[in-house]
Amino acid sequence: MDAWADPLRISLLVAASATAACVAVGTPLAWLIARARPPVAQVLSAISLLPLVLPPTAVGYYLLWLLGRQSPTGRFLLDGLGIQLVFTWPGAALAAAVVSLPLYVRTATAGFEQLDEELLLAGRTLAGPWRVFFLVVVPLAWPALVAASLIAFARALGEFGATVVVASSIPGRTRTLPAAIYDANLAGDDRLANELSLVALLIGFVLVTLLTVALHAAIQRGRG
Amino acid sequence: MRRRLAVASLAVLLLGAVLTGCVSGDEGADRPGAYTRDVEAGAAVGEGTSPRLTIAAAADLRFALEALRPAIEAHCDTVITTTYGSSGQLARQLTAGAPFDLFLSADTTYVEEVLRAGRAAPASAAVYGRGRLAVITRAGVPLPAAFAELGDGAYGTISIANPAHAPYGRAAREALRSAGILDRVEGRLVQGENVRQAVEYVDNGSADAGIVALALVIDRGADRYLLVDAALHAPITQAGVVTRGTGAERTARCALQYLLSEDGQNALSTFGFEPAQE
Repeated sequence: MDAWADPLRISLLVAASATAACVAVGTPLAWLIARARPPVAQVLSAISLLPLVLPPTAVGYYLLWLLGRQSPTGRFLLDGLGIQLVFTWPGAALAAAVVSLPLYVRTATAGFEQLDEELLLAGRTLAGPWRVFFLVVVPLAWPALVAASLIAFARALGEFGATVVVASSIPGRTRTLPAAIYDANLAGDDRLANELSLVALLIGFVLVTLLTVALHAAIQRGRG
Repeated sequence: MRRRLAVASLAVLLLGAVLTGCVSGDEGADRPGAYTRDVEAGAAVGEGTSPRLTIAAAADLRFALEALRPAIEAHCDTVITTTYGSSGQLARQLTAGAPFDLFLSADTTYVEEVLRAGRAAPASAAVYGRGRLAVITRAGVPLPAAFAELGDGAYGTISIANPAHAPYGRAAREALRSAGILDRVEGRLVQGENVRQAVEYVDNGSADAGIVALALVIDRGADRYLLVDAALHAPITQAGVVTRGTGAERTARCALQYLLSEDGQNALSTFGFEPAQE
């Protein structure tokens, strides 16, 4: 079994889950920010940007406290619901999601803000707000949402500081690609570190290509 | 006559082998004379002193070194800055050129690495003590009565330092294997980046138990940890070495020599370190 297969699998799992969480939480949040009036919009925007300005290790530290036995929420999760997130890939995904959320929200908000107000008003004469959102807004804004998802995915894939604090780097369970590179470096295994970094680079190229296409489509849509 | 010659030759050969063994140097060294007992004697021409000394120290030394800091600073007329990490991590940084003046490793393997990389000042490697493993548990989880009890399901998550670059992690794994419980426990192990993080995992409740350095937990009291039988693992022979070309070599030699001195050894023993020399 190639040494890069397990870390890659875990990284893709964590990044995909984190992106799904970002889409679920970030899309309504971005819509709110785009549509809300000045004070509310600013406050929501600032809150959503907070994880971006915090060092990832600080985010990891706060999450570790929140999910661990030292906090009331942690104790409830562990002893009450039997859910352990620390040292697990869902915990890593949560950490990655928190760190990627600002990027998703920013890009999605920009996409929503570009929407033609007339089209939205026209849509609202025909259907309720939920249907307008899914049948009018999303089809119009989907390039921006795809771009936002790709950015979030890329960020989550490369996330290291927060994930390693919350989930550690357990081989086969939470050792993501970035964590594996770090561990290989610490262990002095330069050949492995090179191999893993090359895999990361290849994935990076693929993502950049997809992202360029998506962003281009989003900008074209905005102009049209 | 022939028979006597044969016996005599055999005796000479045996004697030679024994003598070579005696001269081979202290335990853990694979090169004769690699470890010295008088670090300051090896000072070369051109080595300097410095009012500031940077020490790269293995994570298990955190409390011991802090306790020894005032004495070393007074004795060697310097101010000490410390960076703690796993021995492997620090050795990697040193071989890549990190500007530490003195390296205090938790074993001899990583000192050997620095020696091989040509980063060590001549005749400056010395063994300063032997470490011990201890088991701790988080609040609400009772200590095992014996090391092998860690195989019990009650210890759902056990933290150790990462064996790939932390000597205490390697020793912990070895002890688990010797005790025959490694297979049972393997899936429950969580690795800290260094032995200090392994302690942290237990303290913040993330891990139920930890196999860590005695030096980091001895101050909690004898009823709060379980000493691990040293026979379960290879000796944790802790050695240090002075970095060459830093301009602070003599100060570093002084600091390392202090650890080997009677005062230094007494202070280290209060943290559970066993004497450098048997």
